[in-house]
Amino acid sequence: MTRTTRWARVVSVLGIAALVSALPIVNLGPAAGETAPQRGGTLTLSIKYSPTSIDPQKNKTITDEQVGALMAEPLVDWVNGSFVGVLAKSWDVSADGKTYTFSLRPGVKFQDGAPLTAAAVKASFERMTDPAAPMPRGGNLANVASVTAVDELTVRVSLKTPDPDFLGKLLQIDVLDPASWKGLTPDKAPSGTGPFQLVSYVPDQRVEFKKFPGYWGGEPYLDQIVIQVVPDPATQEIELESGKIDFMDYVPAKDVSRLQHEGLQKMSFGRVNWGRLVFNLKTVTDLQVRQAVCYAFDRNAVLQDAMYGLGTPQLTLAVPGTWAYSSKITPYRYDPARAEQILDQAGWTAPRPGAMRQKDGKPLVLNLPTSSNGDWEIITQMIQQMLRNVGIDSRITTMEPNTFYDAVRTGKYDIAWFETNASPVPPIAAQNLDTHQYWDVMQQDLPQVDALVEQASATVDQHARAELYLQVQTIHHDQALECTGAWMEQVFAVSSKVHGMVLDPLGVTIFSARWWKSQ
Amino acid sequence: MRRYLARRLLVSFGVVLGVVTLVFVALRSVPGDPVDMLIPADASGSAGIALAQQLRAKYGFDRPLYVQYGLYLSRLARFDLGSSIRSERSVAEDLLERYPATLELAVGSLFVAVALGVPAGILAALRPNSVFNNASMTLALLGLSLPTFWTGLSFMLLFSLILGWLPASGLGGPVWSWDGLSHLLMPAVTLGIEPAGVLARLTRSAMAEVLRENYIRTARAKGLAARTITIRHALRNALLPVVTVLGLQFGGLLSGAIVVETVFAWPGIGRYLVFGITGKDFPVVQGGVLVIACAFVLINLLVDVLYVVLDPRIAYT
Repeated sequence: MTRTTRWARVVSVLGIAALVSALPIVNLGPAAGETAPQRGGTLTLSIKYSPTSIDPQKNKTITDEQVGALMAEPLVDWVNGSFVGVLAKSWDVSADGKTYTFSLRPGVKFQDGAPLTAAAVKASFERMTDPAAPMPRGGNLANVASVTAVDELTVRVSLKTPDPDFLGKLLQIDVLDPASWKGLTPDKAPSGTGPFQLVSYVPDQRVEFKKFPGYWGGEPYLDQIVIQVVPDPATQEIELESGKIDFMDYVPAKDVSRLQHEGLQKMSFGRVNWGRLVFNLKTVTDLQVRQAVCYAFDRNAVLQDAMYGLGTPQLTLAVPGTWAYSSKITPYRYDPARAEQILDQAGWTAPRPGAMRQKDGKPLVLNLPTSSNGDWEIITQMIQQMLRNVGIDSRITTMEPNTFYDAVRTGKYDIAWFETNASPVPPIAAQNLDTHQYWDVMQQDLPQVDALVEQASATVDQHARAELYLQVQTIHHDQALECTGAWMEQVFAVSSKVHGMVLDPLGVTIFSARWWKSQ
Repeated sequence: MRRYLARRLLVSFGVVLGVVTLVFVALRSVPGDPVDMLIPADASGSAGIALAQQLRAKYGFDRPLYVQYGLYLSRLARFDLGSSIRSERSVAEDLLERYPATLELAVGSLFVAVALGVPAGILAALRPNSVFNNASMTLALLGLSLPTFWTGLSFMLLFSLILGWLPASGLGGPVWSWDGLSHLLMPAVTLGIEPAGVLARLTRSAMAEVLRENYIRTARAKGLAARTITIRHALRNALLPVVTVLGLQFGGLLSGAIVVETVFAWPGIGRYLVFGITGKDFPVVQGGVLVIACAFVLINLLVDVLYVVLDPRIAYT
């Protein structure tokens, strides 16, 4: 006991020394000279939106996933650009890309003591796709034809069509003990294999967890995790600065550098969240108008002035540096003179200098709705000004978020700033081009694009796949289906006392067994 | 009086029914689909469309409006407020959980408003043209004009960040414990400042008017003590308009204080309702508005009854 206490004290002194030397810590991961992790303590996380459900399989939002990731785990996760096994020790994909065989990690226990088995994985998948109780993420498994428990620790998943990105769809599918979800009340969670166990859940207020000592990855360092729901970012910042909380989600872009300056760690994620200008192809039928809009759109100004530099300009659909990227696409870059030239050639002219353009007496005016969600409104106002600069008139209508989403989805708009989250695979923002999906905002069937996207998503050979995505990108560019905007960076702020926190690409904090707090 | 009460209750029932009907229709006539929030943005291909159909069928949104309304009323008659679309939790249970927090904040801020506003108004009326009168009325005007999010955040900066005396957010333990009280203090004062300003100005003008009345002069001529005149003769008569406004203010406070609840992360009904509105969570909005409408109607009834106690000349038949 004495030895432990003394050791703990040495560790804490070293920890503080490491901390002071590393201030301000910008990146996560072990700081220079950092000592062994310390055990114990409570980590307090502050989140803006209450989890909508405490059942990890019922996740609808990133916050839900964040909370769920403490209690339950998927078969695989995506870290630093590749898939790593979580509950699956290894996996094997058949040559035709239709059969995935997972070898489960042996010796894993659910929090209720039951062992992780292939049967539990099968039952968990089936619960996600039960048509009688639809789950928001059930669609991730829509392509699954059958799940077979080959033996105690081997699961075989057969797909209807080949899917090289199937592992990406499993990131949000947690495995739970089937015995634990029967007769569950909404304030209780079914049993997962995660490092923390639910103690209490009060919606809109707080969620409390204690460590699960039997966690397969080793006993978690932290004793407890408390999540507080604080909707106002200003309040979150005050609590973070006064040391009452250790973590806040979604820091407003304008406050990021100030918090960093005060020694708080910045945790960023992006590249799966992209913002773009979408068109209603039914109303904005003139290709030259769409092209002119893309040339008139200054994505760098949006990033610098509205997002305070948080993000990367997105020039093409594919993520640069990945197999899907091609240098054969010449992106639309900000060029207002070119935009004006295109409009002039298309017959959209201004009756007098400075006036808005018209053609055959018909004014060029676009309906530009936006969501009352802070950043979107500002970005939309900037876009309005950019369009005005080349003689395109637009009308902004600010709506509450749900009304806005519905307006865009059902085609009550001409042009809009729209942000989307997606799986990290494939590394191309092409999923939204499928015109048969719920969130199709283009309002027009594009059979050729649909066929290409469908074919590309079911092609296993990466080279052939890249060729197909190049064709998609070519049509996307030539037809100016959208104006690409930016890969948006989202920021969380973490106290400098917290170590070992990792984000997955969607912004979910993962591997909480390895988080620790210097006292 | 009994017949009056019975009649009022009947009218109140009509009012509440009108409100729920209005909300039912309004929610459905505003563009936006409650199902939108449940379909992930990256739901692949037909999976999202299938999920939307399943959900619409589950919640009955695919049925004609009058059928939906009939079902809603029949469930309401059985005191069934339905479950939230987002969280699947029972709306009645959610409201029962949040209403005590709203009530605590409403009573706390009403206490602040009355404790600050009424004495300030009386003293200002008793000493017109004094420094106290000018200072208190300026403060009252300030209280009326300052936006609550600004006052709230300023309090928070001072008492939580700089002095470290009070917790910045959340609901504490029971209100009689220090934990509960310390959590309530800042939100209650922030929320109470505005009604305190209203009450101070109202009490002052009502008192000033009453103090000019003949019966006050008579009382003074009789040689009654100043305190007796102020409290028993003047204040009681000056309180009538104050009580009316107080009732309305309290009704407003009971409908939740969206800004204060958001700034101080107070888990009350205001935030619940806003969350319901932004998510188009029909059962949540309908349930929340129903409770607020009932609270308003009841408070108004109470105020009318209180008139009789305050002014014996008023009698309801």
